[in-house]
Amino acid sequence: MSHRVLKSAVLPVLAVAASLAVEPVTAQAPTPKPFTPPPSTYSPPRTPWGDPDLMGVWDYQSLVRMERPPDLAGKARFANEAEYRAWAKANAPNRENENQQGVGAYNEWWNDRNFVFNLNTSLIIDPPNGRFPPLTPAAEERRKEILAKVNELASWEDYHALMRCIASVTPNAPQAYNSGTYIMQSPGWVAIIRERLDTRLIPLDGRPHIGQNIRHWNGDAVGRWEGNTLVVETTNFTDKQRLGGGSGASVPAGIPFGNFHLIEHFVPVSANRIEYYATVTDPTTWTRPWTFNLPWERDDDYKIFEYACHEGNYALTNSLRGERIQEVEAAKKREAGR
Amino acid sequence: MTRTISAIATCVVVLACVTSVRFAAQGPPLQNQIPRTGDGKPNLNGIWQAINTANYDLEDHGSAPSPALLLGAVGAVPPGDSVVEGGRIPYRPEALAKRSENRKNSVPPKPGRNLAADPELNCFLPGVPRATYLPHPFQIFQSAKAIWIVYQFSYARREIPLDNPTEAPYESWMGWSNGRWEGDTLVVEVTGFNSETWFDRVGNYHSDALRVVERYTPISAYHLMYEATIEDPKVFTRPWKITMPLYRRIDQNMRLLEFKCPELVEELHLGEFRKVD
Repeated sequence: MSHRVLKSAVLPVLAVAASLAVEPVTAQAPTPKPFTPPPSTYSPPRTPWGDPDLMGVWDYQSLVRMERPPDLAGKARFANEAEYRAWAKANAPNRENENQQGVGAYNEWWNDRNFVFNLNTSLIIDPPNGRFPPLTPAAEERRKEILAKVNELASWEDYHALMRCIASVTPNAPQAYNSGTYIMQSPGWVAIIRERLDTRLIPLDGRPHIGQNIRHWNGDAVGRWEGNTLVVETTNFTDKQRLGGGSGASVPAGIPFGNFHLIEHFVPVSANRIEYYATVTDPTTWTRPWTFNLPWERDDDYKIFEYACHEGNYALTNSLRGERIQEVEAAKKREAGR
Repeated sequence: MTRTISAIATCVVVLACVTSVRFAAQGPPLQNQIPRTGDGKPNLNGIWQAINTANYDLEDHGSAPSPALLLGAVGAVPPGDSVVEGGRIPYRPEALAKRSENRKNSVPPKPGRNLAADPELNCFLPGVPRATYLPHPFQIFQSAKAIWIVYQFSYARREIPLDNPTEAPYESWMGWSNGRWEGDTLVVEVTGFNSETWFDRVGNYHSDALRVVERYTPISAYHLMYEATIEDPKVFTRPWKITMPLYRRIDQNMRLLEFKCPELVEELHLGEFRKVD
């Protein structure tokens, strides 16, 4: 690599850092510049109709978390693969520990892990500190209310969409299992078929979004190719994805993922790797747009299987039944104590 | 007569305009021309839907009142002729009792998670071939190596490899599909079913020995002829076949919308466990 290339790569980074340093954190930036991913020189094979061919199964398990851990503050990237590997070894979940504590997920032994190599120390790449931007004051209030009521469980609506077998979160962050995702294409279309529940069907013919009265758990996506990069714009999200957090969620608990605007860039950088970027703009929740970058890796050995979730979803029934029984018992106790 | 001809001509022109977007790569196909992929195979890409009453009852049935009284004519059953070759499904005599029982239980008497009811009512995955003639569109994606069918109903979808047939690793609701081309017909063999799905709303059913062979044959740019041969020696005396056309949805900006029905049956399944203050 010549010095000139290096310099031209460094300068925009400095410029971005400088512009962010003066940005007020309590108000939406006036007109945020659209996010542009770093370009790639890789040229993927073509479909018979001439689109970049990304068909096949991809996975995006990641040891790198959404937010940069405090001990790596100030360090946006690992220096090299060796440094990442050393960090990964020290931070990988321990599959052999049979005494692992905790509830809410299977213990790690059951998870079939294939963490994708990543030199970034956080998935969030903008803001450059690798952390979520501050919430708006109204969203901060909402978050406190949601977290205060998180154990109320008055109805199914107080559970995550995933526990209700309705939907994962779009945009998807890493999850512990079943994150295999099939990209299928036809002339004018891309389908993103997640093993877990969701299929996103993306028309590429320049059509408008669906009517405003139609709200989808995964929003309404329209896409286009910019060179070899698939750019997808999604709107019409439902406001029912209201808890945040949970498996595969890209926002922390207490932050509802409601009516926001999503731009995704799928940048193929080699035959086996797509750099995926998701930029979220939601001025009612966040004080500025933010972007995370999750590498996807091709996995030809991964066979998508049926994810019949609702069909066997006794957890939700039993959990709600349990809540009601406990309430009755508590009322009886109160009665007896009088 | 002249007016009819000009109306037809207008229709054809409009049709050509509407479909020019969909067929941008090749230009709009003529009505009788079967669109083809680069390798000469029929091009099944697109959004399709059955228009018939098979989902109410595969066999011939007259109109009937709504199972939900308050829905009146809105919920009434539309009449339809049989889509079964020969008219009747060849049940083993001892298997017919189970269909009668299904028919009686198809609409549950009270709210809750009624597993004896029609699986569609419970928003359970519809299985094959029922997914094809549910009152919802589905979209076919085709490559040289594989076909995916994505259904609008719930999260139903199928991967159909064309080049590398494999055995079902385990039973499932939608079964395990392997496809191949026989001339201009896509043939899909589906095995590995569980015994939980029905063929229609009146309880026509099968066991886990079910094997379905589907045949998708384009008969114009806008129509596929769909056949499904159903084999299940535990329930039927011989293989039997259903046949119906599938229609290309050419509505402007046609796309599948979310019909995430697990959400739509929560009040039915879980209503009794809602907190009452």
